[in-house]
Amino acid sequence: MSEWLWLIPGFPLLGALLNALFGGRCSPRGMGRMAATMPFLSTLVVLALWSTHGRDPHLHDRVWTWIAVGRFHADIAFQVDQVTLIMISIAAFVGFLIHLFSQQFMAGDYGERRYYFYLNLFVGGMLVLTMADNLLLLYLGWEAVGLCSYALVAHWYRKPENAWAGRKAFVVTRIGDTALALAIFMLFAEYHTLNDQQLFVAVATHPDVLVLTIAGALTLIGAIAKSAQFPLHIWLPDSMAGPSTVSALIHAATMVTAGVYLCIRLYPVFAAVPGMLWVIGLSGAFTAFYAASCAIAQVDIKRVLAYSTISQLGYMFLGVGIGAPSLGLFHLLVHACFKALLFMSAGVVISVYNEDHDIRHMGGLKAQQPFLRWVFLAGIFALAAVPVVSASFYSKDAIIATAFMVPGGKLLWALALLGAVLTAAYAFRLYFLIFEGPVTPGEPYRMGWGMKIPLALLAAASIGMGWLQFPPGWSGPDLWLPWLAPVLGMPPMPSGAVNVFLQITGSVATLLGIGIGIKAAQWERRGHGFSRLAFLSGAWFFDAAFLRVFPPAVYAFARFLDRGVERTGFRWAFLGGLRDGFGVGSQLLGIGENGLLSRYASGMVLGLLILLVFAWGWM
Amino acid sequence: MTLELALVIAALLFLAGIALILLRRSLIFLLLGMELLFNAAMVIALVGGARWHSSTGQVLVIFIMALSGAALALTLALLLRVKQELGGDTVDVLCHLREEADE
Amino acid sequence: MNLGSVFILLPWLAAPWLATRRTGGHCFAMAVALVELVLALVLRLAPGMLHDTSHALFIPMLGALWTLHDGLLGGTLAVLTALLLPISLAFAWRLPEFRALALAALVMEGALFGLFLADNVLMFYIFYEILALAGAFLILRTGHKSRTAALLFLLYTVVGSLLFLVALVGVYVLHGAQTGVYDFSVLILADTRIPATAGLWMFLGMVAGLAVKMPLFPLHSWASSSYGAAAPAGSIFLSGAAVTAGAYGLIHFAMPMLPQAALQFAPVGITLGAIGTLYGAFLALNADNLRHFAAYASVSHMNLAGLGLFALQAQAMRGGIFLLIAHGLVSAGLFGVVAVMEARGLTGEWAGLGGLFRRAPRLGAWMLFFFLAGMGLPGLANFPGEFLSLAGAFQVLPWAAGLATLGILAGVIYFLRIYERVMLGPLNAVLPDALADLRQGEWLLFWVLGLLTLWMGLDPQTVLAHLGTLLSAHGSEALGGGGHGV
Repeated sequence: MSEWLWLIPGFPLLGALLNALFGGRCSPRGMGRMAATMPFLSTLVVLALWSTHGRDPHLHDRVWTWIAVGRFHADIAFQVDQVTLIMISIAAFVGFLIHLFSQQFMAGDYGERRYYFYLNLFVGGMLVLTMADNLLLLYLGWEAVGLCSYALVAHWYRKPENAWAGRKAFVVTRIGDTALALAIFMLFAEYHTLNDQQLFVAVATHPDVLVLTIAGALTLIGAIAKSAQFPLHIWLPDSMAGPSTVSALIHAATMVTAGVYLCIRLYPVFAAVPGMLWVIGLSGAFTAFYAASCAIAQVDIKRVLAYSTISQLGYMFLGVGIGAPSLGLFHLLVHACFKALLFMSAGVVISVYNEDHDIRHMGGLKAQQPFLRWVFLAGIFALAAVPVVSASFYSKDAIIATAFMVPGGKLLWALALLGAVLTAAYAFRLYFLIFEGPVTPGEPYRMGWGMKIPLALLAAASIGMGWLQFPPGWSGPDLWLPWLAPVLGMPPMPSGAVNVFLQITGSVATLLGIGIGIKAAQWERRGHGFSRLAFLSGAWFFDAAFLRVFPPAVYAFARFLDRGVERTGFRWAFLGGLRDGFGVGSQLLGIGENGLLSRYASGMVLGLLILLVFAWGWM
Repeated sequence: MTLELALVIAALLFLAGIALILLRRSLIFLLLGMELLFNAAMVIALVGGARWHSSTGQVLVIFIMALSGAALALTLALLLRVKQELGGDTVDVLCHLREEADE
Repeated sequence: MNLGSVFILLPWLAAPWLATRRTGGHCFAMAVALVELVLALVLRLAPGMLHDTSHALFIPMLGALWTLHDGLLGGTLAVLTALLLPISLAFAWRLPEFRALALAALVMEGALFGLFLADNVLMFYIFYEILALAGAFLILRTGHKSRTAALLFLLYTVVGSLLFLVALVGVYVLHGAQTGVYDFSVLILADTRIPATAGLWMFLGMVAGLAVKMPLFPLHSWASSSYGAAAPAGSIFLSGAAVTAGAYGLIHFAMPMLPQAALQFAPVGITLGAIGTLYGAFLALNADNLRHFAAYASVSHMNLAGLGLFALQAQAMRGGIFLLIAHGLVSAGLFGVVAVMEARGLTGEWAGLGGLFRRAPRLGAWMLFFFLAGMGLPGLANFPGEFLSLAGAFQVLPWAAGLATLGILAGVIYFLRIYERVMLGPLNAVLPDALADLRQGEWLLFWVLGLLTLWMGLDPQTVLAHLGTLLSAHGSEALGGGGHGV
């Protein structure tokens, strides 16, 4: 079986290649069908993996040698363990659902072929990223998904702001990529290997704290840039310029989780440095609170969801930081389902309201779109972590509760709990503004089966996925943590009275948030909601400050180098000096060059005499 | 004839040639001067050959004679052209041939 | 007369014949270029053809001038050169100055082949000078036909190579004084024992002569005006193939002759490479038109390659050479895009561009492809070279290599900004209404270049594993087994 692993990323990549080669000859519709088939085939292979090796996957497939110079050795090789299996299941299956949804959603768009090309390439790149057995191949997938994110955010390129948003997304994530590359160089210079497993062995036997601290910090920068964590989150809200399906796939379910995945994968490296995990946890907890506080003041439906994604990713980082990567992964899975659902539903809502993103112009949609209302509500339940009946309750609340248990975790717990209140508040504010209240009629929009099936499946998952792992002390399924324990270990779960206290506070926080959310929707309708708080709706003015400082500085420096150094230094001073020197020299030498033969003759005789004198002296 | 006498003659021939080249403006005399220089060189070659009992000197002289004859023919032809084209046979007219380098 | 000599002399014989023609000559030049490509592949894949190394033109005190050898590195670079010539000619096909361009490029090709196969350093120097002259001719007679640019190019390269010659004669005289054997063969000269200070000066002289061609910072100033003045089709050959001569001279001649000095120079070389990488990147960001942009992008990449070569470290050197080859392909793609746009009357000034993707999506897609390759996206040709260079140099001089790594970030900034200016956004009103997308022939050319770029990115090992030993025996002995370790 293991020599079949390459098929999983192979199918979508083949789809992209076929699209590039023969796309011009086929109709966009045909290309769309072909493109959707490819992740479906990948999903089938993944399902086969589950059925044969699901209990304890340990697979490796080396395809060919990619780069090998001395000890710098990287293969195109794939590995699958429990963590990878979860990630590829998300990438392939959610990817397939979004391809399916796109068939109707993107029909008739002006770049349909291009859209499917990048969508296929993206799924392939994401699968390569997750399955890579060495850091270099991971970097390949990492960059490939970054490219697809750029191209798909800038999909409607005719509007300059869309193209700009795509570029911003690529540039900001590339800050992290550069840091990641530096981390790879450092780790290679110290441990002379690129392979994950060999690296972990080397780190365990020779922990060099200084190198590991710097490399770990650089890796973390890479991860927070990709996963849109504070302070490198600024690209994600703008990248909502792309189609909603793209936001669902790339900016909710898969690519942005790559940073979390990297932290889970390189967990041994982080764990080898004292204090590093706590920093990850703090970054996650703060981002979770910060982004939730921004989300509550947004009026653009997609920006609410974008800040919500940033916030939810913060909870995943918190999970990794408190030594519970398996809970982080659990929340990653749950979040992939409900956030993809919410984004796709939001795409439909936007279509209904004729490309208007402002939630203040919406309302009472439940009568016109009953199906959409129920699936959206399922997603909102999961986002707000409504007790018992939503998947997030079992994943997010477990992370918050566990944070309380670790040393130095009280601060993290408090931030996360505050974030949870805000999360429930903005989730229900969003729902109430769109689906309840006075009716604002929209365009008629009929969803076909191709759209309904993915939404229904994801809605079911948003509610029921949590039942895989009940909290400690409850009688019920206890599947997730033991299954992951061989790779990620068991997290320090609370028990006894503390456990009861934590669960009650978690539930109360959610219910409190729901109450605030309903009120907030009413305030917003009356025109004095949170959106009037410029500090919150402007995301603490962080993005504006960043844009005020960095791009102008870079351009000014480029202008200085061009005008100041290149033109003044090299061309004017150096080359001008050289040219003038040659000019003056040639004029001086040209004085004798007057065309008078007699003068030349005298010169020759003079030269002869000098030679004679020299010869005399020699003898 | 002693070695020294021959060398003195050669030196005189050379000086006469130099003087002709430097002092006269006419191109014909310039040519004559150059021929005298050749002759001076030939005298020295002959004397040297005789001094070291080698035939090289005589071979060299015959070689120079042939060469200078050939060169003279070409130069005379050029001189005729100069006279026709530039209307004069003094050295100074030749400066009209100079390309005006600076544009 | 063996195959190697035919290989070198055929373009030189073809060039005068082409010069006598008043019209046409397209098919003839292309046929010669393709024959040379086949010959280059034969010589590279079956190096035994050259095994009876020919010694000709033996001159006392100088050695056998016409000495050919079969180096894997030279052979590989020869294949790249031979590949870029037909591509360059194809992009120039409809230009009125096609014959001047083909003439210069053929002469350059012969000179490049000569110096890739040369064993005698004097022979290398002579070919190197011919290359510079032909390059100046190319700049003078194509594109803007700018005398200033041609003169600047000549000034830089000739002054540089004079310094090379002085340093070379220094080594030669030292060797002669030590052993009594006066010969310019590199195998003989590499034996010379050279005092450290004198060696460093000689190495500096050689670097000045060779780095100017790459062009490395701070000797890069000719590049933007030359690539900006010559026809883009000519710049393909100038920037892709001619620059390899300098790098090859460094690896094959300067470093083996002066290994200790090379080792001493390594930190300076790495630092200069790092500065040049970022410097080129920032100037590309501020370039005033598409030609200058492509020129500075090329400068930035070549400095990164220089960083790898100077590091004298197993990964870095191979990475530098790989980047050299990859840069040939990517540069051909970039200047090819410029050539295609100029063939449609677009000058490449920013004011006349914008939203072009709407009119020419195929061109836009290929432009993005080569831009992505240029910014070092993994899976495309530049990435293995860049990553190996940096990873290797990082082990020698971490802070400078770390600085150069910022080039990864700078790459995405300048490439995407220019892409956005040219291709995205609303359609520029000044663009002509009838703007044809890629024609069949151009499309095919891009496919050839694109597939090669993809292949180099996904399977670089085929090239990397067959570069042979990079430093000849003497050099690596003096360096203690390969410089800064493996």
